[in-house]
Amino acid sequence: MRCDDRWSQPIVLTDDSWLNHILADHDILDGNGHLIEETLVDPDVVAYDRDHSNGENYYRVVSFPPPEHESYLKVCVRFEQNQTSGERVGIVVTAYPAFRIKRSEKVKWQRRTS
Amino acid sequence: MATQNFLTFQPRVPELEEVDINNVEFRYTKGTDTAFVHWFGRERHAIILDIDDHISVRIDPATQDIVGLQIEAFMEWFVVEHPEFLPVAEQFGVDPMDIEAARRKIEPQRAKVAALGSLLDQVQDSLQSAVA
Repeated sequence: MRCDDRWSQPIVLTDDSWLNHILADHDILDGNGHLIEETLVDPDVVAYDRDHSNGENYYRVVSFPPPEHESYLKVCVRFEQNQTSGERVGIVVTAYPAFRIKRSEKVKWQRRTS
Repeated sequence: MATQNFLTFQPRVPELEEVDINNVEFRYTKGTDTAFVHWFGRERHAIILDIDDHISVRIDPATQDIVGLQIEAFMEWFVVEHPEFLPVAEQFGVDPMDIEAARRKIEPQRAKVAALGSLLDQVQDSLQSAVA
């Protein structure tokens, strides 16, 4: 999967990450892969990763049936500079549902409500 | 928009008797340096709740049971801070070379504290059986 995030930064999700880092331990995302793209394109919150200076975590409120239960979907992205084009590219390293924004993460951006 | 907490119930820690040891899975993914423990197998749906900077519990929203753990920065930070868990890294399938690299990062003082803690636990157990 490849998409542009809300700020038009290219983000890539490889098959390896999808199968070995996401589905392998987060079965709830099976059949819900489209939510990853939705979270990157239209997040509710973006926070700096605590352990990786090039890492940002995208959060979006989602609902996983059944039974219906709301949570955030957290998509962890690490940014790298493409050696040849110089373009900043995000790589999805994992994604999973979370009850809340991790307390130790500093919020970079969050959606404003009118 | 204020951030939300969607946890609306008190998660339940299962009794040891409820866990079938044959279903317990330890897994480590090097790419994210994360260790997982699934005590009812990997198929149980779970939502994650951070309880520490690096430790999160996996909660099944349908049953409200805690069904596992995930530990981030497992080799980079966790086993270095908690050397008593270094032998567990093998169970998670961590590469022996990475285990050795982590072992070299452990401060001698911390290793002594971990060893002492383990010895004191052993003494406590032995003492209880000796005086029982």
